[in-house]
Amino acid sequence: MVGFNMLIVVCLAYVVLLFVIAFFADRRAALGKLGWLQSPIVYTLSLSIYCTAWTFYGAVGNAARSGLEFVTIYLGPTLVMVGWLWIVRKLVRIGKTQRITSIADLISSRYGKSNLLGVLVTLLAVVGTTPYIALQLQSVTLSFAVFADRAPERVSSGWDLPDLNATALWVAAGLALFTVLFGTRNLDANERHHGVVTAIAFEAIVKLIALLAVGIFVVWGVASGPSDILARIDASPIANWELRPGRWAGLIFLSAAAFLCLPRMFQVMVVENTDERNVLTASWAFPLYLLLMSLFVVPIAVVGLDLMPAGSNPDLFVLTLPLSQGQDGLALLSFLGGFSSATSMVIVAAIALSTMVSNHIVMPIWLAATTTGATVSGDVRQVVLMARRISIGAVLALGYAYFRYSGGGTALAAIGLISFTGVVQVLPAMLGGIFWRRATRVGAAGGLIVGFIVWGYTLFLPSIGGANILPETVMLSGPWGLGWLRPQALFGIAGLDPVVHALIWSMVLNTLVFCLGSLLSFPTPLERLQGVQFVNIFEHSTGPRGWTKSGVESEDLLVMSQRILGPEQAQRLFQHEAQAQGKAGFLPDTSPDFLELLERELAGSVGAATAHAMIGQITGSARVSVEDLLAVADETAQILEYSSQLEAKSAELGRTARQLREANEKLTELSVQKDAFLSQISHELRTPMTSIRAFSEILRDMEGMTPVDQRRYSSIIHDETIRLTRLLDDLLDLSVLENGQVVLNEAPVRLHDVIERAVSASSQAQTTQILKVRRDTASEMVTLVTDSGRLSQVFINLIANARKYCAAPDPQLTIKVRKYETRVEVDFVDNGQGIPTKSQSLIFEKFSRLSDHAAAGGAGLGLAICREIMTNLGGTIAYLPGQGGAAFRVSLNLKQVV
Amino acid sequence: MDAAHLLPLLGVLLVILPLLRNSEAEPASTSSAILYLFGVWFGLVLLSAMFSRLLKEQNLLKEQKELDQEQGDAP
Repeated sequence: MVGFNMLIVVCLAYVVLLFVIAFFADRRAALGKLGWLQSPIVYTLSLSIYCTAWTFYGAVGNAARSGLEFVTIYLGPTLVMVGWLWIVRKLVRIGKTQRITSIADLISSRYGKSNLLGVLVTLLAVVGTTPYIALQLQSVTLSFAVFADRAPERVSSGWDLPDLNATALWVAAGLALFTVLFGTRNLDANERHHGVVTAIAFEAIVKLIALLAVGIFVVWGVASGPSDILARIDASPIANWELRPGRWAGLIFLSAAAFLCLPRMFQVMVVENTDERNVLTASWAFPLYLLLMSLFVVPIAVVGLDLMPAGSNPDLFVLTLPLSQGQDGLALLSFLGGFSSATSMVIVAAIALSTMVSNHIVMPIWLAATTTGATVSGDVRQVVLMARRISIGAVLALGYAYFRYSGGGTALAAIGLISFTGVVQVLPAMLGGIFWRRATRVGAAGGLIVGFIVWGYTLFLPSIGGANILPETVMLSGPWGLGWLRPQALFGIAGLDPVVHALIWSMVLNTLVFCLGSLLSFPTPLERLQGVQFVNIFEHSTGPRGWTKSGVESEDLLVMSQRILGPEQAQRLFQHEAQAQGKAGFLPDTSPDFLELLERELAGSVGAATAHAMIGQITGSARVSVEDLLAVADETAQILEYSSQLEAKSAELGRTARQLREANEKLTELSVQKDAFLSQISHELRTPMTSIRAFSEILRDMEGMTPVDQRRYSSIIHDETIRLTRLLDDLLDLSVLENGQVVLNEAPVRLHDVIERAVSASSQAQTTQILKVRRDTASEMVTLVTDSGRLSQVFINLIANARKYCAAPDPQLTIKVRKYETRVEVDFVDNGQGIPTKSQSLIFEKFSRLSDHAAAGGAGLGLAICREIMTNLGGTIAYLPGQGGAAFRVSLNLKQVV
Repeated sequence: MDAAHLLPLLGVLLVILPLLRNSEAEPASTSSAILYLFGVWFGLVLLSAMFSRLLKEQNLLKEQKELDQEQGDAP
């Protein structure tokens, strides 16, 4: 006998195992060792969240009540996956190229990045999914109750165990915790959660094994083999089931459509897809999984009806049948199967919904509320993540509330199909969006709203309402006595099954409004562009541009991107793009290509509509040029081919021209600098020389000088010669470094010691201002092989610069160390004014002093020396724009410590 | 590739087929209906697996060809 306590222990152990699996998968992914994490098997198994607790327990109950009809729920998805070349392939490709984050994002992005549509689909998804989550909670609590009813503790201690509401609450809270931990760990640019997906793949195996084990036990343990089972089937009450043609065809269509439209299915099928080729395997492996899941459903139902006392709930046969046969271990396994079906569905649904809510509802409101716009500094990622965490909590709380409100009764059992019917209202807009270029936003919104209303009126409200929401008279004779408006017999067509009735009317009206609305309205330019990109996704993956060049500063874009993608990733992206354009540093030209790419990257985090709006805030309006529209209008293959060749050539030319222009600018600047250098050096040499000459003449010619004066004058001469020597030393140092003749004393050294030495050395210098240095000593514990003296020379220089030039009233310098696999980066960021963009490329040149006043003291050689030292050490030093103050990044390769 | 496109249509046809038969004239046993449905289902899985294998090989061949072409262009 499995005790209730034992059940709790097993449950907790299972949950801990899930946490461990998710944790290790996340860690592997973070280390970049993806390997099997993106294998087709994991992908196929993750699709199995289609099989929720509703199917795990409910399929048997369904079979006991209406015979073979239960297979329709699995045949629909089977047909979709077998026919993956038609729809799934296109969805996955669109999802990847457009960085789609959810089904709401897909619809909004297709119809001109309209946020209205995103909100509509999000609402639809929340309303359609909440009852479904309640259903999962119910199934878990019911299965708990099965064990609790039989638990010995109940008899012995009088412990009131089956408090279903408390169980549901605990389950909901636990699921929220798991989802928050692994679903909102980071704002991944492509919105993938390896930990969650791996845990779900594991749960898929558990539920399959559990159901197969019960089935095998029933066929070979209770009955005596397949032929016996077939005979029993024909003899059981199930054999009297009737094929209802409307329901049969309707449910196959419904389940196929739901498979494409359910937010959680879209999440695992499109968003979490790591490799398009995985779909190839899933096209047969997933139908096979469904086949195995439903193989033993009828046998279990038949034997259950046979052996269990009359009146027992067939929905729980999977659990009660092994228990009644004394197979406690098997019952426990089956319990875990049901548990994992419920948990995996809830987790993925919560992630999918929270992404939609945060991207389409919270972010737009936040963007509108913060009037300062997208360019202020600060991290938006925290806002997005917090929005997601709160949405996850809210979604689960809604599910729990629905569970409490509906009383967890039998009404919930029917909710699966009702929920499906609600969610598939997205289908016309989705299929129209990827196959019909003429589909417009107006049509899509109209279709969605009409479908949603029809569904609510004919199916959802009658199902939950009872007499409170829709009075009896409305159900029987229609509102205001209008018979043709009866919720379950619209337009006088009575006698249909309610689900089929609602499905047909909602789909027909939805599609009708969608088509009419699209034909009668005119798509905006952006809609046209997106439409072509979606419909012809396989013809040309890089479509026409949505942005034309405008006078936008790429530094502003960098500041914004850092807040969404995180500093590291944004800097890497910008640097990479700058390199691709043939530029050094972190700031690429804001070409339309670059804006397009950036928008797509951002869309991966916050959704297409928000990303578009954010870039739009910075660049002004989204303008679509005439050429872009022409590209849409005529697109025969040759023209495209030709224009893409031209485009490649002009891009090449553009790159070369940019390089030339840059080289030319640099040469001009260098020549100006060279002149400046000469006059500078003569000036620098002349000033001390003049005073040396003057004072030595005084010493020579003045008679009767006091020893005090004598000492004073000679010490002035001495000081001036020291200044001269230092200048000459610097010049010498620079030329030695430039010619690569320097001898480096490389030895293993701890970065912490180098920074420590640099900080203390530069604080000994005469201090006019107090500079606060903020460091994170723990991260500095990196050992590297380098010339510590030279490196600390660089650091001292940077710290001294911050001391000299940081004009903030309360000067601060932050030193950040980040270690990567092959290199280490040290950032020096102060809170001053920073360096203007136009001067950023000059500061590393000799004698470049930005401020003219000589108060700075140096000759403008410091950073030039730093750069040469870093080159000699095999590293780099660069100015890091967009950090709020002047910021320098020193980057060093990590050599192996021998 | 074209055959793979047609596979779901075949599937729909086979799955809808039970609707066409006149159940009153010649009532079918549930067990034979189960055998039929699961047979069709398994057949679809097998065909789909076969096509996916073929497509995979085709893709490999195509990639190889493209690779050859690139190498052919290079010298």
